[in-house]
Amino acid sequence: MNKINMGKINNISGNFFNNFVQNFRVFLQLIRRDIKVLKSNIISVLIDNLCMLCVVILTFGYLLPKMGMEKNLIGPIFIGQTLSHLFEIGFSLATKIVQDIKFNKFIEYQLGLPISVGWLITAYIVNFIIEASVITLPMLTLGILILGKKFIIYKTSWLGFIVIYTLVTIFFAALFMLYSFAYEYTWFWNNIWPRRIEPLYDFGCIYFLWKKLYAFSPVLGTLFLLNPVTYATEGTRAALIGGNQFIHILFCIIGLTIAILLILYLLKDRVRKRLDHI
Amino acid sequence: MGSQILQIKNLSKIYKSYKKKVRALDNVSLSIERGEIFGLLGVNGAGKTTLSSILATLHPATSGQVLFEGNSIYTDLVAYRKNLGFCPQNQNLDMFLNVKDNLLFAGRYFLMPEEKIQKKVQTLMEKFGLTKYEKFDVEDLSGGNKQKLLIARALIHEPKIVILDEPTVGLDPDIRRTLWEMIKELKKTGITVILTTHYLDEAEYLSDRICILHYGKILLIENVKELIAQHEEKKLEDIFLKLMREAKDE
Repeated sequence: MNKINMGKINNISGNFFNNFVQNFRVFLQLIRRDIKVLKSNIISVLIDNLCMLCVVILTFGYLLPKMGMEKNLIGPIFIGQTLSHLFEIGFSLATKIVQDIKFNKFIEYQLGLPISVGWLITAYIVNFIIEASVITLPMLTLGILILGKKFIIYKTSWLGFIVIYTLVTIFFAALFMLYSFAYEYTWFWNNIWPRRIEPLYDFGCIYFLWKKLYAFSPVLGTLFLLNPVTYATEGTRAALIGGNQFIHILFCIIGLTIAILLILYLLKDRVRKRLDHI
Repeated sequence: MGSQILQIKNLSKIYKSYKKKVRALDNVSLSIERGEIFGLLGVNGAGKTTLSSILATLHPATSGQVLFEGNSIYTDLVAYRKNLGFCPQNQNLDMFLNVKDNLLFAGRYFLMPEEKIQKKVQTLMEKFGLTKYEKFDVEDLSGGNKQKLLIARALIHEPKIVILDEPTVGLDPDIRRTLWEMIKELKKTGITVILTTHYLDEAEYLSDRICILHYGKILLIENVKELIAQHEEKKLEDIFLKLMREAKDE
């Protein structure tokens, strides 16, 4: 039997430059479509976020400090809480993909488009970054403005913030895409939140600082470093608030980059297994 | 190159799971002529959808070759995909876009010039009777209109080959007839149609030639008229049932 040369299959077009241009142009159209969909419900998305923002500010900016929470924790916890919305956005992305693979199979249509699977997955990730930015960036900005002096800033690094925020959104996009391709529909719905999401969420230093945890228990502190969400929350705090109460931003960038590379490697494998694509 | 638009040579597909291996296609070889309607028939699990999804480049074959106009489809996948329209069994439309946008973006994904896309979308919507639904959400369309939209989407980039996988399944007789005429129209415009169907009356009415698959192997490839002429039975359905019984006995 003539075995198919998979190396040849993966080479969608002979010329690297033509191949890149072709993929990039289709990729832009996929993003254009995603932006159109996002625009069609942007008002609803913004209202949802405004509601969430009000609750978060009331709870962490006013109620909990009155009940004894240290005031210098308002800023860090507000950042942690805002980033925790990435779990919800990620879960929403993952459910869309899981439902699509099971029922509508629009992804099969996309697999037949003149674009490679790698670029298609990249389009999904970029779509997530856009959606996450539209939701979390206004929340962060507005929250910091409303909290005013309660949000204590030592030294903001905007460059650091851009780098860490980009890595954080890529991490969440890749993670939830991995979840959606790695698990079967029923398992996903029944088990993904308690078994995969909740541990990352609760052990991700969202509601406390890593250094305080480490001071309390070095073993627990070290274990929490295995959770990439720790780098996401601590890195964003380090960039926006500054000071030495958080894990160093460079350490967070390295930690997140390693996590992203690992997840992307696993994602590639899971996508191939799930979709059996060319 | 001749008049053969697609040549399938020794194509096999094996699905592997933890427990077992399933050979969905077993050394299938056939050619499809330019401009014909080629019917793929077979009972459930015969390998029809596997074959059509390999031809649609959704899944790789385990072994064998598929040649488009003499060249392996895998050497220039983009060029092949631009020449191919695929209507899958499930109506996998973009549920987040309306009817018109589904078609507009389908054209954009194939990098057609915007002006051409607009014209083509108008033409297709008129041809398929979708103009009055252009602002409708996909989920608000009837099954028949969804199917029409699916076929229109497959035609937007003017492919040379269209694969229709069970295009009329679950539709009422009236819509089925309408779609049959639309499929006949495709042939008149020179498009090669690969039609996968369970409906023997559909295959008989539409196909120039048929291929019957049985457990992943080719049982028969024949011109429909000649096949009917060769048998006592005068309907394709009866011939199919007879062949299936014989295959089962063997």
